[in-house]
Amino acid sequence: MIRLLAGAAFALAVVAAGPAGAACSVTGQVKLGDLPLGDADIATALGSAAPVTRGHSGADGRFAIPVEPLPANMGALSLIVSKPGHEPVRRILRKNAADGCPLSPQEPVAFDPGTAVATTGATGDTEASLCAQRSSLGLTVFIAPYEIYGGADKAATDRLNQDLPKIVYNRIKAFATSLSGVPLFDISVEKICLVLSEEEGERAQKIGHSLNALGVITGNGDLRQDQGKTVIDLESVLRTMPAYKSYGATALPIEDTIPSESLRPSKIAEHLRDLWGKQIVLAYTLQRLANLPASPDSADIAKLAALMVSLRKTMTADDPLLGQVEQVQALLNDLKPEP
Amino acid sequence: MEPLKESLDVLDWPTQAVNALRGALSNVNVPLPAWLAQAVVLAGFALAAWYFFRWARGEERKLVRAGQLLVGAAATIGALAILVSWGDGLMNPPSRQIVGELDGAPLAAARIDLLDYKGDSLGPAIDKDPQSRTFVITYTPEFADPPSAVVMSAPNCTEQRLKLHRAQLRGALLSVSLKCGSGT
Repeated sequence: MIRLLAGAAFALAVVAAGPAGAACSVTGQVKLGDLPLGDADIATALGSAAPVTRGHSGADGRFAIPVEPLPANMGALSLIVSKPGHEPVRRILRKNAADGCPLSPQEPVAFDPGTAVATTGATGDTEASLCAQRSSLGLTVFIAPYEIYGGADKAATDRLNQDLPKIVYNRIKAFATSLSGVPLFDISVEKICLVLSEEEGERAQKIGHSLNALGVITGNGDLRQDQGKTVIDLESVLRTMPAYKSYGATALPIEDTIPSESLRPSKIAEHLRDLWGKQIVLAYTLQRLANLPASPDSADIAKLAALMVSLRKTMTADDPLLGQVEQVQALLNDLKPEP
Repeated sequence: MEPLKESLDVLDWPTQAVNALRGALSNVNVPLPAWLAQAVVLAGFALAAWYFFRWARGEERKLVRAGQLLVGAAATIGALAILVSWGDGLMNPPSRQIVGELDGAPLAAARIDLLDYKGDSLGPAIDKDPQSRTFVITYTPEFADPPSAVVMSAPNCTEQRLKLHRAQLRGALLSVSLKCGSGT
């Protein structure tokens, strides 16, 4: 009887140990375009936990990392492949129901050559051809020249393009100042000299990444008469670059109407919509989130959370950015330490 | 085994009824934890079953007796359904992750949210793999209070709200297909 019980206990122990005792291996290959990429960092993250570095890719781009079987209440493991100068690539590895191990990626983990961060971007746009310098802090918004249609002379177009950075800067600053109880953050707005059309959104995005920009603004305008005065209808797209986890890098179309006569930029800024400020506050928050250390200071998170609360207070239910603010608030909630 | 596990969805009606009650109470600022609301309803079902079976014992009119037995049986089933869902939740806890695949729209541009019984966002962490079109929703499950639905939307696509079934809360793949086009 005792033998029978001992046998049953051993069998139970073996069953209980099951896949948890077995080590798993995840294999794959890292590529940049069609070429293998060596020395890329291979990390994994379970749920909302911070990523853990597991190894590096070899010269042929191949990697094999040991990982633990996934817990019973988790269904997937995130694989994060990063290499300085490139946007990290995130892959989701689903759990193999049989052994609890994450399944290796079937396709190579591919970096987009277009997101390479270098003095000369994959777009072929150099800092010289853009007439701009890469932002060191990542807090600069770059504006491409606007084309003005409807009979504007070159001098008026040039004047507007000359003033646009100051106009947008004033609008963003005025909005940030209006947020209650939030310390001001400093950004800059600078011109690039490359004209970008509406169809070149992807190129604008790549330029933004290569310049380490907070955002890139493209657009154009139409002159028209309004109650005896000449106004300019501006159609702009504000693309923001910072991304945190899987969230970020959005393009927001904004329509404004400004007077065409020569006025102080701060005066013209009063005609721009609050969306400029809201989108930049969101981008700033994502930028700060993306640069937080693995164990972030709770005071930093609290500051960002307060910024989002203030931003949300400025929004009505139909605000186009409300959903994004809620998502960022959810991201911040995930970072709050357990009570 | 899977069909049996799926068939447990049939027993969701008492918890859905309890959630409707919780929603109504929450609207008048009386929020109740799911387990407490279910415990109160369970006690109510048990009391009703006991009362009607006891009453039927002394009843001589056949039709009335049949009615009393029917009500007693319905209350018993309701109570058992709550007990079974509790037992199921304890023995087979839900996954902390819902894994899905998206078709019809680029995953990078899609918005994904997880909703509670009232349709409010649970603020989950979302992970996306645009290359394999796979997404993972990570959340913290509460006892007896599973999320009710996943909402997905993308530019130029019709928003989709998918009711979550028991299997998807326990690791089965959630397949989503968005209908997109200029008319949407």
